[in-house]
Amino acid sequence: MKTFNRRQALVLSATAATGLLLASPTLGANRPKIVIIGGGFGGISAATVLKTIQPDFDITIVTETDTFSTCPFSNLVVAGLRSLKSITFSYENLAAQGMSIKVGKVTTIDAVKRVLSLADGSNLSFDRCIASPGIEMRFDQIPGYTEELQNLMPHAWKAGAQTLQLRDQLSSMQQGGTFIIYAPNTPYRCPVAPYERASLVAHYFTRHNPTAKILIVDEKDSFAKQALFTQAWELLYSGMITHVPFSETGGIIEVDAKNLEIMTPFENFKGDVVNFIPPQKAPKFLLQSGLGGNGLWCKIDEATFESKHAPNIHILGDAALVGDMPKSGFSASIQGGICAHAVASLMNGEPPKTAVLLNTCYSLVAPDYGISVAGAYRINDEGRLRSIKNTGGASSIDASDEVRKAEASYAYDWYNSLTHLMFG
Amino acid sequence: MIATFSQLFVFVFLILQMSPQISLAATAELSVLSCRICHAQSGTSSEIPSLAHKSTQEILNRLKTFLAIKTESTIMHRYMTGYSAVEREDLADYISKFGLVAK
Repeated sequence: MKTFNRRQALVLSATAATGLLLASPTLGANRPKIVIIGGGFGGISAATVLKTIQPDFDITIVTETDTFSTCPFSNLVVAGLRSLKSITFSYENLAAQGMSIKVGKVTTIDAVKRVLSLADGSNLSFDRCIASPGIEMRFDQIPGYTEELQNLMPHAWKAGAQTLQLRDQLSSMQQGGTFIIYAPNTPYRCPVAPYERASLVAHYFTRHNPTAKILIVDEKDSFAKQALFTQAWELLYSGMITHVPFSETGGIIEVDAKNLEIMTPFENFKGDVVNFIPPQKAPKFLLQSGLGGNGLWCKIDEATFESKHAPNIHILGDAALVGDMPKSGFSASIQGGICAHAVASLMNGEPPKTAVLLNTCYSLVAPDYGISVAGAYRINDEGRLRSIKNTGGASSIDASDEVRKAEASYAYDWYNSLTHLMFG
Repeated sequence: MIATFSQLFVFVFLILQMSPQISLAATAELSVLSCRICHAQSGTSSEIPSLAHKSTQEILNRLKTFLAIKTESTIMHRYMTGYSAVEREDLADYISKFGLVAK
């Protein structure tokens, strides 16, 4: 049995007393203070789960905008099948549940002082911080592509103004014109979304611009669900979509944004409308606060989501490297819920628990034709969140029309279920 | 006697503080958070099957069917091999008792 001297016992008693204070909901002044950065899938899921399991915690959500437009289903907006309003949610219900909503832009996080600074000059202190702020575009990577010129070739990779801009460019594109989607190399937000976008725009073109062409200039040779997409494109939009893999171009070397042109060693591609999805990284404030180490994404303890570089700061969703999980809204949501439990356990001085985490990425190839790729993940002996063997995978290539239709229905139901959980 | 109790308290606290070991078996109250992402509204306007008002055995039987039959469902059969038999039972039991509410 381990023994300890009088001095150690005193330190322990003090620690025990602090533990009790933190755990006690009756001592209002000492309510654990949790600041959540990000009003999207990860942040809001963490907030709602944490509020349910720890109603006594003082929760503040910092979000850059006063409403949230979802990237999932924004391809339906691009294709004219849904309004931006129908994928936009307000934080009113969360405020009504007793959470504080602070609209602002975080500039730095000080892990030692446990305080974050905002662009408006205000500060927020915290006991623990959960950051799920999504992505930032890398405007310094490809010659000719800059922040100032981005609207000439909108990425529409954060739902909002550029989503509508791309929709409008497509609806006014000349008959028989060419629409180019540039897809970056992994890792990036929502790996299958460029191909869903191509599909739904093809659905639009078959009705409004039947001689138009879609070219996907890809920085990769292959992508998830490729066989399923290719099969569906042949069936629904024969000859309209061409995928140009990396091996045929050698990769991008430059863009001419004003002329809507993408240059590669082997060939130049000129479009009438170009959707340029640039390479991405974790937001600057995380990297500048030292939370990305020497990399572009944040390394974390994959069981608790606590940063590898600073204590008391948990990072999840697109900004973090979370084992084998893809950067998706579903992933961020389940990570948010699990992180909320880990934060509650750590604040209460209890060992964190573990779970099986699931992710399904649905893609609508047409409004009534859905395909999916699923994954299940758990912590392995080395503390990594790995894909569980012989589990998950894509929809069957031989599935019937009924199954494709059912998967489309499930995609809509998944969206409604999750946004309901988040925003009420 | 009082000293003994306080020493015991400190010792128990020491154990808790010193061994934040993560148990590798998945706990149902956390795993259920994945289920509810799709099933939270099932039984209303959703075509995703409802999990409300089902007994542990009903849910467990369904999960076992997903494990055995690979083609009947769209998603669930791809997930079921990810859980141990005990985890499936715990999950079925949890959903039967508490539904899909986080707790």
